[in-house]
Amino acid sequence: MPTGHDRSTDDEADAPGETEPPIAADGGDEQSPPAPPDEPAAEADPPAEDDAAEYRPEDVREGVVDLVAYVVGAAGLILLGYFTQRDVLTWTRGPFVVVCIILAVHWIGRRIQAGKTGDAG
Amino acid sequence: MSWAAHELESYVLQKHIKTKVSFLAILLGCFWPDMITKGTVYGFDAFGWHFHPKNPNLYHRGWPGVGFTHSLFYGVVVALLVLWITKSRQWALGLLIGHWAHVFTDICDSVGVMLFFPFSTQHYTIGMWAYAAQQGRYGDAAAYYSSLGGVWDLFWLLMVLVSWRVLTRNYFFTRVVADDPVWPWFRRRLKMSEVLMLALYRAYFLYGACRIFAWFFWARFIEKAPLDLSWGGPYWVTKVNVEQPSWGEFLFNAAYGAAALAAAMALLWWAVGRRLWRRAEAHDKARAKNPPKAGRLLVPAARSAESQHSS
Repeated sequence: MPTGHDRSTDDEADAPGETEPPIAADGGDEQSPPAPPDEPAAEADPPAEDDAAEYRPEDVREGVVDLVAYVVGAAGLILLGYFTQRDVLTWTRGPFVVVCIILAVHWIGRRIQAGKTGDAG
Repeated sequence: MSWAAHELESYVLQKHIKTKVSFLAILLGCFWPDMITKGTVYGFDAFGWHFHPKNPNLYHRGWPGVGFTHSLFYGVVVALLVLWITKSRQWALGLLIGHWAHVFTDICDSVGVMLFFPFSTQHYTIGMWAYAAQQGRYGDAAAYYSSLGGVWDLFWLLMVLVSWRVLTRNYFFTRVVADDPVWPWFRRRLKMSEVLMLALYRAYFLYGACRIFAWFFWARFIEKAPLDLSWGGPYWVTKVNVEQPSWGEFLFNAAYGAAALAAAMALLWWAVGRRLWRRAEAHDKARAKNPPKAGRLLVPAARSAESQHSS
């Protein structure tokens, strides 16, 4: 679905024949509610019941990993911030640390899952 | 000055604005006035040269100084520049909203802001907590998180938590990404994964929330700064106040400043703004007719349909 908006600086968007992977919300959110009725989710065309039908075990696992990642990220930032103060608690370093922790936990989650399923990849 | 409130209010503002607006632009706007000023307010060393303003509060919020960055008119000028350069109404509007949110938030400390600069250099403040940048970064943090400033941050944290849907994956992909062409650009150009995009979006919430507690615990248990939740506190810091004129003069300056700002904004809109806005509108329509493929947004059912189709 088109977003309907783009910026002029987005020049490569017009490149002929360019195909890119679509951005997908894969429904793995532990909360994943449908859009509130008072807010027109202009770009969200599928009905809410389809969202529920899409939940798969891997989505649930992904949601759990997601939750763990954010909890670890929050705890890590508070502890690091408490002990190091401005070395971490700046508007550039703080979010960077959080994102790194989240990605690291997701990576570990994928490795564990790969080990369980015997998938070397 | 406010600390975590600036990043937290971005999430609430984006949710409640009933038009397409870029979250990233709001966030950038919320940071913008301090991005180019706050680092220098506390002083810094570079290449053997030490910079420290003699009067941090005058430098940060006054004139002469960089106090113009905390004025409403500055936000308008920057938003127009962004509209001119990017042709994106979502970004111009978002930047303006974020900037103004920052300016109005900074009214709460004891120095306040020159709301109607350059038409008036009068400061507007409600003196809710003490401005303490003259104490350096750590002194400022200890004072802020020992006063109603910390409560103000908690208020905005609560506001985001009440609006918890803004943090969900569904909201991010159906509202935030859909309203801002930069996210598809991240995806396409930087090959960002969904996990990374979502983490980036939530990072400033997590950072804002966590820094409240990290600084608060630091102020209590390491710095051992006394907590003082009285209006204008904390009592133990040398509070900076600005000289205010009599009520009559204050009201006259306010009326003059507001009228001059309104006139200048109307003039700018008539001379430049409306043309840039129409140009951006035409640009949007052209994009809507021929959208970039990478800008597609798929939600679960659509993705499923696509996977079935490809298999």
